[in-house]
Amino acid sequence: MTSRRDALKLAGLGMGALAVGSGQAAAATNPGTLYSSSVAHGPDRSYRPGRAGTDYTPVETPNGSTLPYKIKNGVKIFHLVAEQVDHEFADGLNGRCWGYNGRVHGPTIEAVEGDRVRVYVTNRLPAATSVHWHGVILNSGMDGVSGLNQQAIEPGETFVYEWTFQQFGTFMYHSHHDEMTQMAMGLLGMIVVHPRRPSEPKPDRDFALMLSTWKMRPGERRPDPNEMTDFNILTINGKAYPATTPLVARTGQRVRIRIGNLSAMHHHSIHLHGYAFEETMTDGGLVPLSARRPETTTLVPVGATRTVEFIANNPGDWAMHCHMTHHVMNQMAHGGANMLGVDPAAFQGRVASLLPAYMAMGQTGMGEMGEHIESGHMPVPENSLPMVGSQGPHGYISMGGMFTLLKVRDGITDFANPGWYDDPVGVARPATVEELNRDEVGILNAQTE
Amino acid sequence: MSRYCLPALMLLVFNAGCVSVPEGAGFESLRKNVSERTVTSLDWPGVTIAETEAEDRIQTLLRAPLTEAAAIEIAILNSPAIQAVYFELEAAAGEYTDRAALPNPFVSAMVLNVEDAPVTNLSYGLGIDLLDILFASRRISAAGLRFEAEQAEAAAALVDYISDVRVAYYNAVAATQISNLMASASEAAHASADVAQALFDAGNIAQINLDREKLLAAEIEFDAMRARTELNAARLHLNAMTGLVGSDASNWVLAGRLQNPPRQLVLEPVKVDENLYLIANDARIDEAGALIGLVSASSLIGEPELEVELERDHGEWENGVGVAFELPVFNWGEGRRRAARAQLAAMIQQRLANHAQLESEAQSLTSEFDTARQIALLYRAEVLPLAGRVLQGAQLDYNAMQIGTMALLDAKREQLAAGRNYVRALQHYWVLKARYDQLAAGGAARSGVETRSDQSGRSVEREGH
Ligand SMILES: [Cu+2]
Repeated sequence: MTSRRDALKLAGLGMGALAVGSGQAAAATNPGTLYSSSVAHGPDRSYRPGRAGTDYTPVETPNGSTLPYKIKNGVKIFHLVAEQVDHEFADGLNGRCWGYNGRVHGPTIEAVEGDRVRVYVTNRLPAATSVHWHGVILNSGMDGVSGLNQQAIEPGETFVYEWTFQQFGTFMYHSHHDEMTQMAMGLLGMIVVHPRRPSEPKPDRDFALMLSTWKMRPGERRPDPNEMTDFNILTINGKAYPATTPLVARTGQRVRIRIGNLSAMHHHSIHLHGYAFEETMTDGGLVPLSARRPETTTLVPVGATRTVEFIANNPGDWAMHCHMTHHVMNQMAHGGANMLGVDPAAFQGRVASLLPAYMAMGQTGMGEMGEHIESGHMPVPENSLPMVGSQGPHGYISMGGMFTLLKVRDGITDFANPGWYDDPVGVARPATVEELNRDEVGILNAQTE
Repeated sequence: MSRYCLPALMLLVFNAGCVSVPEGAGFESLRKNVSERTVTSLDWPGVTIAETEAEDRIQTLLRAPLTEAAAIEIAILNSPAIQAVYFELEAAAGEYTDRAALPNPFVSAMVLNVEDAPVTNLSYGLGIDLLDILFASRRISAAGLRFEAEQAEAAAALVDYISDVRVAYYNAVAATQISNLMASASEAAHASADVAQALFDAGNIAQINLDREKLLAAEIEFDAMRARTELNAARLHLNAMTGLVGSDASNWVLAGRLQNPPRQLVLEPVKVDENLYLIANDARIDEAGALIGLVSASSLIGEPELEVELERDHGEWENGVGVAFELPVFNWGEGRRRAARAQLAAMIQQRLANHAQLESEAQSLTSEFDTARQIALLYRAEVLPLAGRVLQGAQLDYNAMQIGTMALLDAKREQLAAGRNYVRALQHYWVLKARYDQLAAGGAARSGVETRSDQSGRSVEREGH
């Protein structure tokens, strides 16, 4: 077994000069390295384990959890157990997935730059596995590609990984054995490493979101890892809207949202309403200040993280979602005919005489479908939530999948879901006749067209 | 001596005895035989019941929806083919009476004028075929055996006919059900084409996809037309079997649907030895055996005749006895004896062949019949509920917007196709049951089950997935 001291030496090898100073200066001060560090690292350097609250604002993983650890001889000890998990994507839709520690996805591993970590991985899956620490700078033997860097972890075995974080940022972990199957089944998680000596303001609210895609046609109970293109369950931290837990902040707080994407085939353009934000980090490191630009949408490629920040100065309920329209649908299929604009009078009776439960639908789109299904008068296959969204304060929210809410409220101290926002400024409503006349809009009532 | 000649001749005649089958006795024994074997009671309009009574009964039966039993009863009372069997049996009874009677003696009388003499000589002769007399009892029993064979053949014809009526009935019921199911399948295909038209009108599908739906609807419509034609043919066949014509033939309706087979079935093995055709074979073999002695005798001493003669010669009466026979100089009769022996052997072999054929038919029918029963039961217990669930699942998928209306209608047609296969399974069972019963009753079964695949479960390859 490698001693801690040797390991520290190993960790330092091949890294050349080590980063010091502020984050945005990191790359510049360490020729040949681009990842970000806030303090010096090396065999002769060690740091006491970082403490939540003191050294960092703990990250929040909505619908998820943070992996607990204990400290032994100055090393943070983590334990991941890969196993089958009966996972609920949303009320009414469960899948036999694979996850870590009883969760899909795995708990977020949180640490501080300079922390020495030892991660035990127990395999309780029916298949061999391994864990890759995506974006983490460590020695080759700890990188987790089965066959390349290590032997696969056979069912029943427990492997140990050990390294020192010499960078900060947002990273991910995932199976690197039979990736296609194991990632499709859910073996993923986030890694958040806080800077030892932050050069930028600490966030008040720090969120970690993992994006992933799945395929289970309505009625199926296990994700299909063989799917190549047609994913129909799109999740944030393993949940499809309306099961996604909202991100809650107090007006004026600095909010950081770390978004990782380990979907099989799809990048996601995550759009936030009500704000412009800055992309401050990728899984490569801090984005230099000179390269940051305001955005309302960040494209998170497959196998990458993007971290955005903003000051929550615009109270309200704000949608945050992938802007690819199929990615905000639950169990959308495209085998059916396009019914938009079709007159069902010519066939409704004839079809219903053969199929009494038949009702022509989709002639005006599918916005009302979720409501029909949710109300139960249009039964759908067991274990499915096709088209389902949720009831909102002003009607049905016809969104699903990769959709969540940012809820910003004045003066709150409790960050549990505060309920719906009642906008004191005003809510869009039907125009009155007086208004139409006043502004000479010309159409007295658009509905009578 | 001559005074004993005539009495001796008479004695021989009485010794041989004589047989006569009373009118209708053949039918009575047929009726008994058939009712024991098939639980069907025969009647002969104009003989056992009045023709008007038979006609009334037929009209009564036709007023109610037609059951299997009613179809059989109508056939019994009305089918000319069955009447023909009765008459043929009556003819056989007549022939039996004829064969069992003694040959008539032949008489000769002659007037001889003596030239230039006032007297006329007279000569009377009475002759009889000697072999006919000697073999009379054997010949009579041979005739009895032939009649026995003919009775068995008549019974077999009726058993077979009744079975054919049953099969015709089942085919007609099945054809009705299938025609209805095909009409629904066609309706589903047309509904699908209507959907396609509405989609096309809205600009949502291309002409080619509309045309594909229309093409499919047309093909399935043709299947429905064929099913209607098959139904018509099945009805016409049942009319032919029951002898119904005119308005009687067009007005009847069938009662119900094909019933599910019984869950439990204990099959008595078919008693092939009691088969009517084999009984007829046996009787004909025995007949040939009885006649073979006669053939041997006649081939040795051909045409022996016993003759008694009374003659007045110049006023004096004289009498005399004589025999005449063929002298086997050139033909020793070997050919006839050989032919008779070989024919008997051939009949015995044919009988063995018939036995083997019936035995194998009994075994294969028994297993086919039981398999058909199990398949029909499984269709009912498992396949139909499954097909129903598939349709239900398609409806759920439709509600979940996983499939469109046309695919949902495809699922409906698949369910109808399963229903059609179930009807065919039932038809197969009932036809085989009729054939099994026919064989068990002593008839000779023939297969009469039709199976035909059709287009109606097929669907258009649509775009998308
Ligand atoms: Cu997306």
